[in-house]
Order: sequence, then structure tokens, then C-alpha cells
Amino acid sequence: MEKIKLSDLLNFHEYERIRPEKVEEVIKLKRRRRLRVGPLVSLIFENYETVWFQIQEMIRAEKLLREEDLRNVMEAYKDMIPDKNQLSATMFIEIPEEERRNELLPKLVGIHERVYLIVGDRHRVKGVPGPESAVDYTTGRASTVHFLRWILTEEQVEAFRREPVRVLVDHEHYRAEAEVPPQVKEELLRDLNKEEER
Amino acid sequence: MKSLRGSRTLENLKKAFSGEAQANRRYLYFAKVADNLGYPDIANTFRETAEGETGHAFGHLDMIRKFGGVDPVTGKSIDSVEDMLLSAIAGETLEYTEMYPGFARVAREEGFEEIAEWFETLAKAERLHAGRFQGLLDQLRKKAGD
Repeated sequence: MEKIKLSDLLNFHEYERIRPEKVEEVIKLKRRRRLRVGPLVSLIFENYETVWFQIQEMIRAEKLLREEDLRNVMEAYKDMIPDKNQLSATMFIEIPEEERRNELLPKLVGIHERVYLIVGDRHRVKGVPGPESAVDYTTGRASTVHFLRWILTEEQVEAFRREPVRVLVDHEHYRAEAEVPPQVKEELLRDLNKEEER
Repeated sequence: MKSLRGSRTLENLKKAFSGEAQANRRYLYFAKVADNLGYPDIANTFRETAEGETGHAFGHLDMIRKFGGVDPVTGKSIDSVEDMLLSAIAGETLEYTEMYPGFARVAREEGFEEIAEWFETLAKAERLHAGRFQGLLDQLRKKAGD
């Protein structure tokens, strides 16, 4: 995994100078890393660049200057970068209308444990949610943001390279699947093969 | 003492709090922009007026606490520091940020990609904040247990 280090981060003022071009870059990059699965769910596959951007944007939005604060932001997000043979994604449940959220989110509790990567016709890899998703079982309402990780074996990575890959969300109140298109797959293969570089 | 719970007055305090809180943020923002554009005197007036609005907003919350009302945003009690931490956690993790992914989708569909990114950044912000408040709550409870 390409770890993020404190020395990789720019301070508030340095970041402001290069921000316009970074925003453009990330918009373009995320077009190749976004997968819509049915009418309500989108996955953004995270890598070093997307996580670095999230950290810098938080530092900017909250005007953080102290090293301790920068470290806290970095710690909150850095584990979203996938290790070798892994993929990591933020899953968004996209419901703009409050009334529909009130109707649907209580039904969608548990959706974070039902997201599968289907590789070819033999491999089904379940996404592992971050620990914060479990709170949905207490609140009785699905969060609209979940952090997921898929851990693949060498054999599955090999199959990923050669065979069609789909993402399946298989929840009793939401069943949808989407094929991973070639340009997204190309990005994901890069994530899976990333060795420690930094 | 008479309790505010269930009263129209509580609903009115909530609305009034929301208006004053927004006025405060608007004036502080106007002050920042006026400063950047080279109008420090106008910026100062915005800033002073914003302080006044903060006083009004805090006054509403003082009334709410005095008469047994609840957090105007989360509906939770805000009597003790522990209550306030719990209310803050609820505010970060529940309904109050859950609209961002949907808002991002709409912004993207309407061609406002930079705004979509902004909404998605904020959608992920709870990962930072909820953890921060939860850590403090754990510390506070541990101290109380010692």
C-alpha cells in the first residue's frame, strides 16, 4: 500500500494555491473510479490520490493548522487506501429527498454487509465494512455512507484480470448489480497490484 | 418549573435559533469576503453584528436548557456535558449529514461536478467528527467511573 505520511500533506496555504488543478484532476480520476449499482447506490473506489484529496479538503474546509489536527485527519482516512490484493470503496446511498430517506433508510439497515464482488463465475468476495457501519443496527436507520474493503486471494486477483467482474448488492429491500466497465477495471487492477512504493 | 416539551414555544425557539444561527454565519462569511476585498471597516461591522446574533442564538439555547427543552437539531437532551457529547454524536451520525450523497448525485446530474465533490467530501466528514466526540465521551465516562 502507498501509505500517506504527514510529510505528504500540504498546509492550508500551499494547498489553496494548487487546489483548482487538483479538483479538476480528482473529478477526472473519479469518473474512472465510480460505479453506479442500481438506482440508489454508488461506489467510489479509493486509492492514494482520492484519500489524499479527502484529507486536504477536510484540512481546508475546517482551516486546520496545528500538526496534531493534521495528524488526526490523516489517521481518520489513511486506512481507506487499499493494501495489495485489496479494493476499498466508499459506498454512497444517494437519496436527495428527505421523505424518501425516511421511508427507505430504515428498510436498508444491513445493506453494508451485502455488497459482493463477483469475479467470473466462480468467485464471490464479500465486502468487509468498517466498524462504524454497525451503528445502523442500533439506530435502526441505514447510514448513507459506508466504507468497504474486499480482500482477494492471488487466484481471485488472477481471475479479476481475465474475467468479467460485477458488483452485486443483495439486500432483501435492494437488489441490484452492475458490471465493472473496462476503464474502471483498469484502475482497479492497478490498485490490486500496488506494492509498497512510498 | 413548567417544561417546554411538546409546546409550541419550544418549536418557536427552535425556529428562532435556526434564523439567528444562520445570520451569525452569514455575517461572518460577509466579513471574511469584505476583508479579502479590502473593506476592513465594513468587515468589522459584520463581525460585531455577527457576535450579537450569536448572543441571540445562545439566549434561545439557554431558555431551552432552563425549561427542560431539547437540542433543536437532534431532539436530544443537552443538560450535562455528557448529554451534549451524545447529542453531538447523534448530529454527526444521524439524519443531519445523510442527505449529502443524494445532493452530490443531483449536483453531478446537473453538471456541477465541483459541488458534487464538495458534498461528497462532507459526506465523509463524519468519519472524522463522530470519532472525535466518541473519544471524549469515553474519556469523560472513564473519569466519572474512577
